[in-house]
Formats: sequence, structure tokens, C-alpha cells
Amino acid sequence: MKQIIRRIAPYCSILALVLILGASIRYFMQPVSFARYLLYVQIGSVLWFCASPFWLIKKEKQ
Amino acid sequence: MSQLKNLTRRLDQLYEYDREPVDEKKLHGPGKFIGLFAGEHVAATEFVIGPMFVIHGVAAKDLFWGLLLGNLLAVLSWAFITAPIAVRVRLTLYWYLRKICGPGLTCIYNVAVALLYCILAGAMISVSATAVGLAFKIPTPALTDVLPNSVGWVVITFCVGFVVTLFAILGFERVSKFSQVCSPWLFAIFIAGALALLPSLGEIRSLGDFWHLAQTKIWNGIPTAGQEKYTFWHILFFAWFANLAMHVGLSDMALFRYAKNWKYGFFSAFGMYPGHMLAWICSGIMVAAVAREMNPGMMAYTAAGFAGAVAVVIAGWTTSNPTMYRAGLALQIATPNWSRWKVTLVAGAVTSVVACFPVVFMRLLDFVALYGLLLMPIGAVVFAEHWLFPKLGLPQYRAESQNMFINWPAFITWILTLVIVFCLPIHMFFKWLPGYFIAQVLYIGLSWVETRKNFAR
Repeated sequence: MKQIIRRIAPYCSILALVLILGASIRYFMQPVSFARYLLYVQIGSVLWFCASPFWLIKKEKQ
Repeated sequence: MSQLKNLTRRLDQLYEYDREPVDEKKLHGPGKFIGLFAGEHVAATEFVIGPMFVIHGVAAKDLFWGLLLGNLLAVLSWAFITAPIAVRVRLTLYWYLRKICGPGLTCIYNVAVALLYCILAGAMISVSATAVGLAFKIPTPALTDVLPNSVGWVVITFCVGFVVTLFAILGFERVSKFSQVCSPWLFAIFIAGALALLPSLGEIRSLGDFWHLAQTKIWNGIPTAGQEKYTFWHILFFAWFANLAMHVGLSDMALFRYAKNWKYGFFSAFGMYPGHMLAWICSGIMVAAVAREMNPGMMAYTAAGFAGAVAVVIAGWTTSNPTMYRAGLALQIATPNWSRWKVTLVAGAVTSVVACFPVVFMRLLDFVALYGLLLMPIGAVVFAEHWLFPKLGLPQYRAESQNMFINWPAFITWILTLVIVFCLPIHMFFKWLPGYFIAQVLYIGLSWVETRKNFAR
């Protein structure tokens, strides 16, 4: 289970950053509302902090 | 003097583990340096520095060119000053300074650095407090405030200071690792926040529209009432000296002693351009969108909601934590056999008191200038001794070979340079550059006199 989490964690982190930046670009281009943008930023942030410790900290230990 | 000798002995014990030059097998590849620089230069200060440029009425063209060239000069300083010395000697500044300046002066230098670190950590706690204060509706101090403006502000800064200190006591290592996890996310929040607030300043359909907006609504060249106007030169010099203690001051020898060759100094560009250019531009856009109100917490909350406020708290926390730890390390030698937690507690208490005074973060730019200026002469002394002494036929490392406790020419150079530069009738931001050359000339002159005297004896 840990192995699987570690394997998918980097992809989740990338997804989180894409979600945050993508939401801001979409709001900048006006197809989404500010509330929707904020929601995506919060989800992206939670996803980042759940996923990135699994691979970023491990890499540091190595 | 005997007390200073005792402190020096304890300081040596503290840094014992990195006394020997780094072994060839322990050298790191480029990836490590790119990661370190990219992670280290997106911090809480970025939430203050970018907005300060807007408040000081920088024009858009001056900002972009100033940051572009200033950061280039910073990268070149790392590549041509810090990295070559570090790669040749493979020691930390502490041990190299000991060979050049003697253990006594190294100890004094270390304590000075610790005090400056406490002020820097205090500023970071203040930045975090602006975000925490939002939840309790506590007013942030005004731009010109020196003293705390309310009891609420004092309580909030003390609470944030307490939590930061507690985490520093419980596990510095864990917080350091956590800060590495935060950097890419923080950078994303900077960009997202700026992009989200841009439409509130005006309609943007092309790059031309953005440039027009930048010139008229963001960096319009008009300073906020009571603030000094900054020009291209202010920005160029600020971007250059923002990390003066690290490059010209040679603190980053600790990092580059692990580099395979001096060219690794160029990897500092991976920290400078995203952190000290893009992040400053983003936070500048954010402050312009909140009517130039200098409140990092409110600014980030407006731009990115709860995540923005958390970003300010985390940025302040993760920056002040290692700073407090380093201050604690230096303080440890001055305390009679205190355990690490006690020393960190004292450093935390000092830092929290400093954080209560809004002047430390409202005048962060001046403090950054002062911080670099105070440590710069020592960098000049090391540079002169390393590169110029052999060319001038002056003996190197006399402090080590003659077992000197304090290298007086170096100590006099440090003090005299600071006295001279403070008397120079130029802006604080520009003082360090003539000061650097004054320090080198003074040190070479004084060392030459000392050598002649010894020779005559």
C-alpha cells in the first residue's frame, strides 16, 4: 500500500499545482467565477500537502 | 578576554563536525544546488519586498530592468566570489574565517550574525501575525508605525512567536523538511494570487494591456504619502544586495564547499529569478489590487482565500524557524551549559519581542540593507586574504600560523569600514559597494604595516 502511495504521490502533487495555477489562469480569462477559483485553490492546496511529503521528504533522506 | 576564549572553545566544539574540508566523495551534483536555491528564495520576505517597491513608487520599466540586472549581478557574485573560494578551500566560512581572523574575531562575528538573525526571524513572525490577526480582526500596524499599535497585535505576535519557538524546540529537522515541501506550493500561490487579482485592476486582452496596467495602476512611479521614491538604481542595488551576506559576505561557502566546480555558482539563478523577480512582481500586483495596503495576510487572503492566508503563516514560520535555530546555535556558546531547548526558548523570546515592533517588517528593505552592510567587510577581508595577498606577496593565514586570537587589522578594517560607509552621504542601498573596496584597501594596508612591523622586529 505504501509503495503504491509513494508511486502515485508525485503525480498527485503535479495535479495539485496544475489545479492551483490552472484555476487562476481560468479565472484570469474569466470562464470561472472567483468562488470557483478559490475552491480549486483550496482543493489543490490540500492535495499538495497530502501528496508531496511522501516523495519530497523521502527524496531528501536518500 | 578569558571569557571570550572560553566562548570560542565552545563555539569550536559546536561546529566540530565540519572542521575538515569536504571529502571529494561527498560532493553534490547540480540537481541538489538547483533544488536548494529554488526552495530557499521563495519565502515570507517576498510578501513584503514586492509590495514595498509599489509603495515606494517604482516605475514599471525601472522595476523590470532593475530586477533583471540586479539579480544577474547577484548570480555573478555567487559564481565569481563565493563559489571559487568555497571550491578551493572546501570549508565553511566559520572555519575559514578562523584561519584568517583568529578565533576571537570569529566569535564576535558569529554573535553579530546571531543578533541579526533574531531581528530577521522577528520580521518573519510579524508577517505571519498579519495573517493570523485576520481571523481575530486585529488591525495591522500602519506603514509608519514603530511601536505596537494595539494590545491585540502584541498578543498575536507573542502567540505566533510561541508556536514557532515550540516547533523549533520539538524538531528543527522536521520543520526544515516541511519547508522544502512548501516551496513549490508557495510559488504557485504567488502566481495564482497575482493572476487572480489582475482583472480587478483593469481589462487585459494582450501583453500591451498588461504593460499599460503595470505602468498606470501597479508600478506607476508615485510613492505612497510619506514614502521615499525608489528609482532603477534602488531596485538594481536591492536585488543585488538582498543576499549580500550570502554571496559577497561568503556565508554560502557552507553550501558551495559541496560543489564539484565553481560554475555551480550560476545555479543561484534558479533561486533569484523565480523568487527574487517573479515572486516580487506577483506580490507587487497583489498589493496594488488591495489599494496599496501593507498587510501581507489580508493581501494573500484577498488573492487566494484561506490558502493565501495559510501561505503567509507557513512562509513566515518556515523562514523564521531555521533563522531562529541558527541564532540559537550562536547563543548556545554564550550560555553556561544550557540545553538546546533552553537556548532556543531564549532565542524565541528575543525574536518574539522583536516581532512586536512593526518597524522591523515595515522597514524590512532598510534592515536587509543594514544586515548585508554590517557583514560585508568580513567578506572583503576574506576575499583580499584569499586572492590578493598571494599576488601582493603578503603572508596568508597569519592568524593561524602565529596563533593569533584576534587579527587586529581585520577587526579594525571591519569597524573602520562601517564608520566610513555610515558617514558617506549616499543612500543606504548604495553604501556597501564603495564599502567593499574601502574594506579591501584598508585590510591590505593594515596587514602590510603589520607585516613590516613584524619583519623589523
